[in-house]
Amino acid sequence: MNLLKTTNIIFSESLLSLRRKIGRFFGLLLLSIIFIVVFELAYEPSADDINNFLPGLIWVTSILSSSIGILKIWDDEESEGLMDLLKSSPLDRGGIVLGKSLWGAFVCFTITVSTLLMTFFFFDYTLDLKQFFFLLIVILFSSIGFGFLGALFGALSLGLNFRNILLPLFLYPLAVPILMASINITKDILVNGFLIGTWFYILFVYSFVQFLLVFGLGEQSLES
Amino acid sequence: MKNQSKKWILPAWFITLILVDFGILYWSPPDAAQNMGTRVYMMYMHVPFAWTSFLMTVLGALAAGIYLWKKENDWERTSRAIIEVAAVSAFLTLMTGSVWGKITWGTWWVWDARLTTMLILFLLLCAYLIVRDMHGSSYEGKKTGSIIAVIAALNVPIVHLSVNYWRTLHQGSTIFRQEGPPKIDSDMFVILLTCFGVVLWWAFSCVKLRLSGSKNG
Repeated sequence: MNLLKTTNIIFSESLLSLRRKIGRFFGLLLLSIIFIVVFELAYEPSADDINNFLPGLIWVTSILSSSIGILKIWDDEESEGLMDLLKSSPLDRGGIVLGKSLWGAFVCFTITVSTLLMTFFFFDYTLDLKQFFFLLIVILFSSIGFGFLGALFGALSLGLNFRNILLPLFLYPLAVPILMASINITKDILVNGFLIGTWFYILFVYSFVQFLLVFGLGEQSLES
Repeated sequence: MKNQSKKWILPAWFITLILVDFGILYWSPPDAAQNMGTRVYMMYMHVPFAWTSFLMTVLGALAAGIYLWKKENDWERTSRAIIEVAAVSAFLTLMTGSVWGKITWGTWWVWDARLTTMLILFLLLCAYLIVRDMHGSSYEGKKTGSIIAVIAALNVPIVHLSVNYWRTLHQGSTIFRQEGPPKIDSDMFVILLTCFGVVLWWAFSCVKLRLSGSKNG
């Protein structure tokens, strides 16, 4: 079966399963609120340094919550014994990883947008429409970067002992450029109102590289 | 006949709510003490939902505690139905409080002790619902959920006393005051109690409907 068709099947199946696992999804959103509460109580930022504080808070919170979601995207297949069935099916293996990567990006995007809205609500920060649109673009690219990276390493680490510890060890160091770029672009958007700059190019190129990696290594990552 | 009465519980409640709303507009005096005028009407929704969320959390925790002690599933079912209503009430408390905050303080949210402790109570109730949703009818899910319900109830006095022990933007206790009798106009107090009755009616109706639904389903 061709790559795009398989990608579509896997992504649609994951999207449909969201109805069964909506509690897990709300759990991640809840986690984001808890992170926001903890950061606020720990730092108590004043109105003057809110522009320095908010971008870091938004992205650290989103990455922590999203990574827990991403760590789980292969778990159901593995725990329900579907992995061997998937591998032996006529589905394109590259398409399976690509579909899961798209799902990972979708999870990251949704959680980050929700975190962003909750943060602005809790800190009573007002945005104009242009700033919000720019932020959505940043979230889209960073979600592609982080989601694809997470899904690829998730596939690579299937069957390894201590997978839940190893995966963040692979994932977080590689996500640092995405995190740094996203924080700095968000700061630029909030303070100066512009999007395009060096950090945006870094984010764009890095996300594109993750996309190419999934295309190149997706099939190999699922080989037994 | 029983099903017929069940069908009418929520519409009857809704009609009563509308009547009470008209009652508020007709009888309630505008606030003079804090110069809030008719904006004080928001209190008639905010406070009853807050009291209901506290009461429901405590009742849910009691049922959860009895489940942990006796291991009878009926208590767990009751606890779940009550905590669901407590979570909705807590959410409505935060929502109406937020609108109140925007009108009176000019901000949707402040990191004030009362608001933060209420948010933590809401998060605990959500955690209970998520645990129960994810673990279905397993004993582990019921046990963990019940323990979370008990912990959530321990937070209720902290929320209530937060305005006494921390300096907050949220006003201090008006009804359950440690220093003396309620500090509220008697007409307002009567309307507030009526609204509380209506919200309680809604809460117990929801619990009843949920329990009969889960018994049939």
